[in-house]
Amino acid sequence: MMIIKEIEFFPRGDKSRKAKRFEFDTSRNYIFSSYNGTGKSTLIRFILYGLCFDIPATRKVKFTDYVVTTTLDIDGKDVKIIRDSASIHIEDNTFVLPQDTHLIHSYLFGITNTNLLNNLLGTIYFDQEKGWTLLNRGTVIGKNKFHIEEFLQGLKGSDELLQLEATLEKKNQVLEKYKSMKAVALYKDKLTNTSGVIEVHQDIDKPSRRAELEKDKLGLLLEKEKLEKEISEYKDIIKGNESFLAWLERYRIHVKCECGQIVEVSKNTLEDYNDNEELNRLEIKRREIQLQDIKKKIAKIENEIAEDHEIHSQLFTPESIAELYDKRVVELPVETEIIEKSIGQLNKEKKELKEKINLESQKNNDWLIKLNQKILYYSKMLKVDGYIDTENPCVFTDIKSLSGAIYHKLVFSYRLSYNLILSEQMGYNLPLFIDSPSGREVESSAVKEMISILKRDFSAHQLFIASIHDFCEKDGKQIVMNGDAFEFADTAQLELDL
Amino acid sequence: MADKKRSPNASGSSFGWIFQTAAGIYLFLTNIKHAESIKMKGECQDIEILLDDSTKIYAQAKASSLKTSKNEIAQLKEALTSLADCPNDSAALIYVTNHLNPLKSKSPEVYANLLTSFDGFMDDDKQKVCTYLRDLGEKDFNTGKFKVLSIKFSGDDDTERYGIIKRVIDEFLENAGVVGKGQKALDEWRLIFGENNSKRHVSLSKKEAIFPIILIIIEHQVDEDLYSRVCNLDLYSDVMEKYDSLVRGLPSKYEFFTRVRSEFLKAKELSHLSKEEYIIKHWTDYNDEFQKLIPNEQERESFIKIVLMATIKKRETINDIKIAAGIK
Repeated sequence: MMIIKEIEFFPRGDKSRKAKRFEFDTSRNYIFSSYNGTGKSTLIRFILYGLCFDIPATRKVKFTDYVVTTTLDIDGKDVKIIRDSASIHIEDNTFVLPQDTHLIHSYLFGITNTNLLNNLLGTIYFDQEKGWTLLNRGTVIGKNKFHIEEFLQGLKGSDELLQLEATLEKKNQVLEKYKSMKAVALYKDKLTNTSGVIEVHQDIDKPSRRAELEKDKLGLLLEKEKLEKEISEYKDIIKGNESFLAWLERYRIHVKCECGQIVEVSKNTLEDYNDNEELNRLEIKRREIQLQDIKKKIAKIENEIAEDHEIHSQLFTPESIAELYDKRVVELPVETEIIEKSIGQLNKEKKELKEKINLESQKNNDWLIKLNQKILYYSKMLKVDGYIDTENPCVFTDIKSLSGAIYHKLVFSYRLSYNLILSEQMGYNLPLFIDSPSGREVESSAVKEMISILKRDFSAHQLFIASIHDFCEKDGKQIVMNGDAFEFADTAQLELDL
Repeated sequence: MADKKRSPNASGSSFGWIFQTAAGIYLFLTNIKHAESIKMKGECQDIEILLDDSTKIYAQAKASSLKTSKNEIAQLKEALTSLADCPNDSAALIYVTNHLNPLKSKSPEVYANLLTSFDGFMDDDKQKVCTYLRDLGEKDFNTGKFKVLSIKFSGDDDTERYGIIKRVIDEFLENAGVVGKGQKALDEWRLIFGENNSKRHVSLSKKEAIFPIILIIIEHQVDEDLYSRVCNLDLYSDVMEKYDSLVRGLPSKYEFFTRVRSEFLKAKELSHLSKEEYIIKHWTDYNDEFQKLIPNEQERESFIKIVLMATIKKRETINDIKIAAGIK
């Protein structure tokens, strides 16, 4: 279970400014102002930014200029996430975005499946612009996408699907290689048609000392890696031995020796324990000394490489490098025709594999049945069920020509269903962020109906609803925005809400 | 006027430093049963060995190389002056040198490559030492504790230079039933004792000096020969390559280590099994726990036999070295 307790932010490098802080209710949070441009959407995006999603800057607020601290309650424990641009600190651990995004979200949301993590934002957030046009495939916000097929694959999570995805990934990698090769092959064709034999200055064609140094460096890096691995293995062994000992000592076992003496089982009375531990520590120490030595050697080689590079950069003019490149390209065994054939074949295989994955993700997938039932249920409730495929609405949609108001209600039905289904699979209620539920063409009665659905079916979820409508709800927290939330500087930094 | 003060001869002093380290190893190992700790470059002398009766062996090491070429008598006198300053807790006052005739004696064979007590000196040499002490004003020098240790330590080749030290190390290891690891132990001790040379006020305990050598001995201790004594399968190299980290790690895990040790000792006591017989008879007792990790039966058998041998040998080595070194 994850609850967002509060968020605090201040402009980086300006600690003199008092941080802005917002506390949240565990259930409903209404972010309200009667007019646009007060920062409602920005506040929602700040929360998501604090949760380490890739949220783009708004026209006037650049999130990366702020240090954001978010306090969460994860299974009853307070957890602080400090986000300073791409650097994230969570409980003494430092992470870097975007590489560690999945790792962080796994920890925060308890989701480990990559497909679900890729589509997580789409299940919890309705952006005020893109959010209300996304049904089952498309953009959530910025670079964040939602794909129903991937979401269904994640929900099903079968071994067969994982294998198919791994094969597809491999195919993609090979395809990428072939695409690069094609560019080279085309260039080679051009060279052989125009230049004939390519002559290269002899000195540059000779392997430099650098190659030798790089080889030595590689050997040392491998050695370094081996030592680091062994050090970590011995550290684990020591930890394991210590916990075994702690377990033994906890029971305060006493044994009677043959001579009649009673001895307590402890570190000092366990035969060979201390010797064994001392040797383990020495194993680490020896390797640490060797590691230091190797690091010094690597640093020395790197210096030599830099020097060699400097010498060669004088010899290797841009023109001579280009000459050498041309010579190497001509020698490469790449033929445009063969490569194009291979690319065609790979694309075909990729397409077939994708279709197979899509079919597999829907076959015998109980989650798909549940999802379709939920979508139908909500679309009926909002009287838009006539516009969708009642057999498999979540995958098949052909509703391009619908009016804005109907589309708005459909989006609401689909997206709520995603959140509920993922919550069901996770075994806890995911939060939901809804920005501006009152679309331009949506009548106020429909908005009220949507709010009552949220109150009824999402009573156990943490909700964040930003709107210019005062729903006069007394059952949660009302956060009134008056336009000064992001005024750290002299000029107000606001974006205009729609 | 030209400054007569000479700057220290770098190669001379570095040779002296190397010799001190070698002398430290020699004295420590030849006194290993009663030594508690050693301090290289101690407060009083070049080498100070604390014994288990709380007395100390004090040693002054003087090396002569072609570059320093100091004569025997000058160095002897320097050593006597320095050793005269030792406190009363001394068990022995030793002058260590690489001169093979350190007293310029008429009978050099009495001293060459030997440790000779003052009582064992030739009468002429006793007289010589007493005269030097009188001339130096060291009337209170206790000649009863004075000894001279002459070690051949010369040449550019390490094998030649460290020949005597290596012999002492080999003897120590042989006492512990270890052969063929003398050179590695020498290299390790040169590092350890050399490091202590540069540490002020920190002594090297007997355990600190001896335990690193145990590591050297147990490293790759189970070779193909030992393996073939317990296993007929030709899979030694494959298993060592594939499961290297487990073969290294398992004997270090106390739960595994103590289980193997206890079960082997029990089998040894009840059925008088040797370690080879125990491994051949009982390796299957461990079969289940490695079944998942190593599905191939033959590889599994080889692996279990190797780790059992490594664990038992490790325990034996710790025990034997501790006995040879007098560590309780």
